[in-house]
Amino acid sequence: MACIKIALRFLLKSLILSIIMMMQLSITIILANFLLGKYNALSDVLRITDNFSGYDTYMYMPASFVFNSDSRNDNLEHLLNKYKSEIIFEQSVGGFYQANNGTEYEVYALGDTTSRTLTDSTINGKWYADAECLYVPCVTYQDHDLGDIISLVMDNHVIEFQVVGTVSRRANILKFHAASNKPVLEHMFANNGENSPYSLLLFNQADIPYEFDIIADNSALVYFNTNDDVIREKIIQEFRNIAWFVQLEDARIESEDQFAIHLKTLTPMIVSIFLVGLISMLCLTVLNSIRHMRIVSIYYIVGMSWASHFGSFIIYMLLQIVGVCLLIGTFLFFNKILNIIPMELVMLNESNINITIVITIATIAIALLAQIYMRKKETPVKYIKESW
Amino acid sequence: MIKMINICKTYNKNRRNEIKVLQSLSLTVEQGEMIAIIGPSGVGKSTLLHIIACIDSSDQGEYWMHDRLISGLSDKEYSKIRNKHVGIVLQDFALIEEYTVLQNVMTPLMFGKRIRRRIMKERAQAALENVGISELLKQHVWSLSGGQKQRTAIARAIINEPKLILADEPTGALDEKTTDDIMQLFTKLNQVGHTIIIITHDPVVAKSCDRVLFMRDGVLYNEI
Ligand SMILES: Nc1ncnc2c1ncn2[C@@H]1O[C@H](COP(=O)(O)OP(=O)(O)OP(=O)(O)O)[C@@H](O)[C@H]1O
Ligand SMILES: [Mg+2]
Repeated sequence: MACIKIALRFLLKSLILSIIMMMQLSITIILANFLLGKYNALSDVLRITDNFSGYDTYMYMPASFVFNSDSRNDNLEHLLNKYKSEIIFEQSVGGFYQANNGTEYEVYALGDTTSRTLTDSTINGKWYADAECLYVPCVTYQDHDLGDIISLVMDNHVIEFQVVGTVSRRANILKFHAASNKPVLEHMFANNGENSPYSLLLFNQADIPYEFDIIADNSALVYFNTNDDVIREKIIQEFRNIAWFVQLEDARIESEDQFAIHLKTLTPMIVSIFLVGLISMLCLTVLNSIRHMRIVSIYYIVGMSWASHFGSFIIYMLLQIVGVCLLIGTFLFFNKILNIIPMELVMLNESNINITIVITIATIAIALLAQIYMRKKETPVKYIKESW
Repeated sequence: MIKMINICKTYNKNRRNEIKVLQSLSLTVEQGEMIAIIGPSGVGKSTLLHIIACIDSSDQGEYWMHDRLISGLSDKEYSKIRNKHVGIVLQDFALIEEYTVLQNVMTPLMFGKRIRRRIMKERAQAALENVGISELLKQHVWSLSGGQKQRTAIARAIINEPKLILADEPTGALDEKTTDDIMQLFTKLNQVGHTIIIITHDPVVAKSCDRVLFMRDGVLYNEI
């Protein structure tokens, strides 16, 4: 009881210093998580390419971005007809639809090979599995149960989907970086990410009985099924004449390089934020304990024990942690409204929890060690002898 | 009431700047005595007082209080003794300047048994009446005179009604007139049963005590 009272007194006595300490820990945690979230999002794109490692896969993107399946240019159609038996050309198509219950869906129809190859870790069910007959199997984002039926009107057809798998986050589907002159991979949902108001629905184009014909994705995946290297080279050449045509593996390597550059700038930022945080915490703790030494010594004279002195310090630290949680909560609340730190392309996962724990523990440990050191160096007994 | 046998205290032990302050010091204090300890500066008077007050501990020797062996007790026991059994008054008052007189006087009650705030206040008021400044209870300490500050410190020392009051040069920062007042207060407290040990440089202060001890070379001598 006395400990809590004293801790509160410390907090009130140096309120501004305490607030600075709390703000600085909060800012460290927020920035580190933001940077790490960016890092996660980048590395997640690369992770998805693992699925394709067994396939002879290329990425195709037309040289001009204005592209619709309606207006596929003649050159492409010509090539596709010419090499019908050597390659599989798959372009995802998609659109936005509203279900009967009002939920808006961002729908992606994947090519048959792509939908079977591109497996993402599901939290429920399977990435791709059979549904009951009559229904089209689909994979959705989080807020659905397995077996749910979703019916959408698409191209004047009513299509009933059944949820066979749910993913914990918006899936990554490979495509070219639209504004890059290098074959870099990026998220399909780069622009609306986790915060999209639309629920996600993925299905296999082959599962509906008519040509699903809306907005086609710019890039496409091309799978070779020929072993003839001469023909293969010839096809690649012809494709390269009309578009970007890059082996997935090359795109991956290029992305990794880009990613490494990001990492090179991110790591020093995270580390320096962390170090600055630790050092300032150290200074603030020392400053604080010097400030409190007089009161502590007076309390010691009138009957505070070393143990409860230390206990009050621990509670003081805990109060600050509570303060940090409140500050971070407040920040997140206002960030939603004001978008102070844009959260697109920020992916939070277990590593964020870990880094938060590490930062918090390291900061507390530093503060604790500094405190113990200060208390050893300048005990109330010493202070009393020197001052009174 | 207090019995100290062969108390030794050395600072910076086994280092080059080692100082042997107390060397086999013995002291007996009876209940109800009012004792002055005098001696040259740096001889170890404060050190002795801190040991008696359980602020510090001795390296060797036995310290008995009310037939209880104090030497070697735990940090918690020491803090209990400081809280309940001794009242400590220091030269520069050791008050929290930005708190009120009442808050300062009540601080020892934070560390004892839990009692109601109303009772805390009553006891603080009683202590302040005892030292004659009950009208100042809402004032901040920084606004008080030296004599008033020392009275506040004495009120804080007696709030838990300890048998023993220890004062380290309580009048060192006060003028003659105020010194007289404070000594009268100590005498009054002594008459109602508090045992008092005062460290002083002031012969006037020493004179108003029953017994004067002179400290030299780490031991105490009776002053004749
Ligand atoms: N914490 C400490 N570390 C090292 N030496 C100390 C410490 N405290 C006191 N001393 C030394 O011990 C000796 C006795 O100190 P003490 O304060 O007990 O003397 P004193 O008799 O009270 O002197 P004064 O009359 O000036 O108050 C002094 O020489 C002092 O320098
Ligand atoms: Mg002294």
